[in-house]
Amino acid sequence: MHLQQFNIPNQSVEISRAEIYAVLGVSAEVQAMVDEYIDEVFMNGCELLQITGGYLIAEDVETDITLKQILVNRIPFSIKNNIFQQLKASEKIAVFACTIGDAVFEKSRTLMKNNEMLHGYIYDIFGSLAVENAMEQVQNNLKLEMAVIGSGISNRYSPGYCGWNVAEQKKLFSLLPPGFCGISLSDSCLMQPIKSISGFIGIGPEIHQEAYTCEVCDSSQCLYRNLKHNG
Amino acid sequence: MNEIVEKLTICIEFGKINQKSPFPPSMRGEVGADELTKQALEAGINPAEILEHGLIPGMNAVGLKFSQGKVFVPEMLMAAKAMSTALVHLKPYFQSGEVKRKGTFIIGTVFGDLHDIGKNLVAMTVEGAGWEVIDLGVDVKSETFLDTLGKYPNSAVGISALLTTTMANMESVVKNLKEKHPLTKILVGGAPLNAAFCNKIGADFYSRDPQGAVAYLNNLQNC
Repeated sequence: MHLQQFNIPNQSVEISRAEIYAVLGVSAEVQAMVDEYIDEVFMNGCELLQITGGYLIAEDVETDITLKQILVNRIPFSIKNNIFQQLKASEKIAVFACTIGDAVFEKSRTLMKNNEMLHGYIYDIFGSLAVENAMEQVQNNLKLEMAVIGSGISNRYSPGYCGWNVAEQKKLFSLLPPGFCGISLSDSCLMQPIKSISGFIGIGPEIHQEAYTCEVCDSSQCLYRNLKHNG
Repeated sequence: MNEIVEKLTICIEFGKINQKSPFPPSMRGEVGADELTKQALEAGINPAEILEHGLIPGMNAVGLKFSQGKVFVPEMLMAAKAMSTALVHLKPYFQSGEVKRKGTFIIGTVFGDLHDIGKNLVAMTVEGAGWEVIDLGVDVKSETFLDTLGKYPNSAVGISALLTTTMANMESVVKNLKEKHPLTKILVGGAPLNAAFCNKIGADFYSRDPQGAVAYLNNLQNC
């Protein structure tokens, strides 16, 4: 097993106005309304980020084609066929987690409580995009690390998406050291801080990344779906 | 219809909060919901008429457009803010009983779940439709719903969840509420839910959007 953890500089997180528009789904007229808020969030939001991300590379990986399961360190994960197809050739699995901390979420909710709903909502979107962006950097690091040994990496897959039951989050976190990246899990598998992500990335010489395929996922909340359809 | 009240409807529908507010650009510099509500009261218009014929139709209009996919969350939030700005002026009349609410709606995100944007949208839209809304926040346990229902026994209850793991928690909440308050109508909503799940757990209505919740609640009032 191989464990990596990074503190990612806030300045390295790059979020564009267009990404926020895409998640909001706004018309040109509404863009004018939200620009002032976006400017403020860009100016002050980055200071609130406390980014930590990393992964554990598990080498004990088996697959069960009949049950569409992947066993990581002998722990079975029931993933749907769509994810199974992407991961089945994996020789190793990177179990990842990444968070931006609590401050952006708290700022968002404070604004909402003070009847600044739209401003708060934009902070919330900023937080979601920031954690994905930070994880992109962690994933790129993994990609470079694996390229050296002739392996490719898959897309990242998370419990709660693409039909993978979010309850499997508990098993996923059991693979990571306690308190990895400062993330804890509630009884209902909700990560704390809220703006955190976790999941699997497949590793192997036959593994490669693909364009996001929203048609195989029924999540209506996914950022990538919004970015793809409104971006 | 009074011209001020008609303008008020437009301000709510398009999220024109006050004269300072730059949105929507087509109404820049014009007075908004804040000033018009004050003007209406000063002109002697009945506060109930302001609510019934000015504010509620505006929220209904934007809510309908939202459910049809013609506007998105930002427009809803601006409309709700315009509405709440106007309601500040009507608050004394609610307190004195001069303006009656349609009923009371208790809402919260089910225990184990901290997601609240969808729940907030429903709360604001229902309030904008003339209901008193008691928002219990997130991670709400059965006991909190029951305590609140004890204080407001004729209320309807709304329960929200965003995760497949937390939607399962709704079942025990609905069961506990129905045991003590069998006649209380319970609405459920959230991304992973559907009408079949609503029926399975014994809730009364599943709404996929805020306007659906408003329509159901308004129907209850007419029954």
